[in-house]
Amino acid sequence: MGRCRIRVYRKAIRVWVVNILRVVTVLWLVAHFTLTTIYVLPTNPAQDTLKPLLDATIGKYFNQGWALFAPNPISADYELLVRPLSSSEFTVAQTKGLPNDGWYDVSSPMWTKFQSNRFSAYNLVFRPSSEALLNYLDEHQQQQVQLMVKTASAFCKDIGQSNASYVALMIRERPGKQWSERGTSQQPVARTTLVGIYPIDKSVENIHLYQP
Amino acid sequence: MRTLCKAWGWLANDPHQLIGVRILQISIGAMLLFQIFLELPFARYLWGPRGVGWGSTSPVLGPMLGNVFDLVFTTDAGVFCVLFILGIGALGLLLGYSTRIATFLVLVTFFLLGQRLPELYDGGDDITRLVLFYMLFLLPHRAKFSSGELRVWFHNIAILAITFQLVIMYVISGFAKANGEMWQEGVAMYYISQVQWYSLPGAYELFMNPWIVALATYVSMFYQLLFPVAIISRMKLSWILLGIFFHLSIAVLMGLIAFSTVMIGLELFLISDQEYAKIWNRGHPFKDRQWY
Repeated sequence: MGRCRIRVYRKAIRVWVVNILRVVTVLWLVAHFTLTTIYVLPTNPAQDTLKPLLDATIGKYFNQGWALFAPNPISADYELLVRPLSSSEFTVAQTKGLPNDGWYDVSSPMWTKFQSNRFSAYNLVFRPSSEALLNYLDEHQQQQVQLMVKTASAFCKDIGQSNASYVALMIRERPGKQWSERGTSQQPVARTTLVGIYPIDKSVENIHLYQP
Repeated sequence: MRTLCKAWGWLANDPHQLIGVRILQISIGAMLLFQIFLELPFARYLWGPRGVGWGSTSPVLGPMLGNVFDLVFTTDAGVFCVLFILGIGALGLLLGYSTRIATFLVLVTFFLLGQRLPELYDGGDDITRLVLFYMLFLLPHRAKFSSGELRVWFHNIAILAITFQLVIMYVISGFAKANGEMWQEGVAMYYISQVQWYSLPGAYELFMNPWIVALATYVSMFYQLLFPVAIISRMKLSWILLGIFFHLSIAVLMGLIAFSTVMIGLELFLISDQEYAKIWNRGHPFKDRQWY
């Protein structure tokens, strides 16, 4: 009789625990997606108030942002231009500036190849450099520069530029035509941003994408 | 009170979206295997010690655990090990074998690779990472269960979590677009078509047509904004079909194949088991007829 009663009590406790767990999961669901919604909305007072909580939870473990091609989509081509420099060219560049010739566009060949084969790796392999380029234009962070330097270094290796010790980086922005100018022969003016001159990273892995 | 009881019963009694879950697992598994196949020749360049990868798991896991996991990327062998485990997990998802373990393996390795090189991941990878976490709580493929079991409850909570995450993604994306001048003016697709990275030759000429550009731009925006309402209405299946067409167009025009694969899987995930049964029966009207 005693054992029977203990079994009944244990079953009752198990049912209670299971039901509490069920309620807790529902509460978690509501709280989690309430916080997620506040986190992903544009800047608002609720976000400011809850910022420490949001950063510690959603921002840390469920980081997300859904402004995909929004509020306005990307509307220009951003190309990474690379100029390998030998030691003597580097010395000259310090006083007389960079040469106008010998620049390579490392972005366009990737896009062209990706357009001709959507099942290729060009998009994936070059995406970090493209993102670094765009992020650099927003905030001049050293991390983005390092990524571009490594990409440029791998490019120099690919094309056999073993004499080069330095690499100059430039970003060229080619805006698209305005809607009102579509179909005209007017070409928007390209803008360039000099990133700088950096030592080539000779230890970077080969990329084997630019070899002829 | 009756609604609460109904909701409790929905969560507690039987697992939902079993077919949708399977389709989602297959789409994520296929997408990951495709990406591994493409990225494998460049693995050392992307994540290796002499590659462009630079990130750390410490911001998420803390300094102690983060430093342990970061060691994986100090050797090329470590990188290939991570990719191998990711491949095993992806295969498990694709084939429906030990799906919970497969989901765990994929989640951990996918997270490691994303932390190592954050610039590599796009919106499709972000939604994959989030959904993989919720998928940990789904019933394993072909699992035997009894009505009312706690793991049935967890499965249905995970179903809701995946659904809510998808709704948030669409609504916020649509909301952000609605705040953009180019989307409001119906010309956003024209501008995207001029970006070599996200278009094909010929797309520019196509989107010079005012009707095509306005239709493509507004459909993209309103599809996302109206998504949560549409999927609980009679238009659900048509909306999902439109979404699949939308994502196939993105795959072809913009080359975002991995993103589109996952999004199509998520769209198909939303169709209930009863709806799949109806579609199947409609497609096989003579299946159960006795021809005598």
